[in-house]
Amino acid sequence: MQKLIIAGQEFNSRLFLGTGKFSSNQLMEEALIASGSEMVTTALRRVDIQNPEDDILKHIDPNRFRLLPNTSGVRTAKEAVFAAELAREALQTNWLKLEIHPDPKYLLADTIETLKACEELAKKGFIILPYMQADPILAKQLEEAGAAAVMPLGSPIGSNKGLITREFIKIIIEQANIPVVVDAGIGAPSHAAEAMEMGADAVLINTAIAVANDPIKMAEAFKLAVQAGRMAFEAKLGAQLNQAEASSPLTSFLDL
Amino acid sequence: MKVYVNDESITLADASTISQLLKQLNTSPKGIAIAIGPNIIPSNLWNEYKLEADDEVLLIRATQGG
Repeated sequence: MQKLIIAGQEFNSRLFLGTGKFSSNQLMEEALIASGSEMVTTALRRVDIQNPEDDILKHIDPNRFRLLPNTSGVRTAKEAVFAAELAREALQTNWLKLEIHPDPKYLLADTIETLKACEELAKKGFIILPYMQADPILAKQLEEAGAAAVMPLGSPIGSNKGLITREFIKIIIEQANIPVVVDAGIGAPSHAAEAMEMGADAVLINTAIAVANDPIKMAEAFKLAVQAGRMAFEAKLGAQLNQAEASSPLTSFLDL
Repeated sequence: MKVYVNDESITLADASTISQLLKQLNTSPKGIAIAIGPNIIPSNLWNEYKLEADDEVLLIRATQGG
């Protein structure tokens, strides 16, 4: 399989994982390892000074995983820039999953604020992977603004509904000069395989793995699905036809 | 003096540094970021940066997220 390259960094795995919703950090750590992923997202939160929690970073081996902090919780470009700078300071990385979704019900990205933040953060030297609506025009605008990759949603975050936006993701993939990572809504390995068969460069999965009955086994299932989908894309799928085309010879051999 | 850390009031010796605050809070300086009001203070300044009374300190760290 071809390696994925984002901002000059090579990745052997085309599966990125989120770290939310796992029932324990220990389980998360085992699922991350089982997935074969090399990039994982984290969020930021205020330290609760009364109740110190288990430090998530103890469970993410920096030699195995690149950290991709997100800006979840911000509502505007201005807040996103502040959160990005805090993340860079806390995690010592300029890689960033830019996400601005002010509406808690559907968690859809605010296009105008996302583009504004991307422009500003690119000037500040961040390597930005923006979570975005599956909007092909916006994908080009984010690319021009300096995004290192674009991350259109398949369906709303955590919904497990798969690639509702597939036709738009196909256009984004066709037009992009930077990697396309399908983020959000992928609920089953078959959804991930479909995205990869379409030519997505990677997928980001969180809920589907974290809430599975067996997150470790599900992480491995996604690993295999992403590999299979990518291999199929590289091997090039046969054309779809509207009528049958025989796979077996139709010459009659029973002379009745 | 009093400062506010993530909106909680903390009593500190006058002219305490950020490093002294972290020690008092029993918080590891690894994997965290600190802002005083709108200004993010880089970790290489924590040993010398002196807090003032009523400073509003934002203390954040990585957590689970997608």
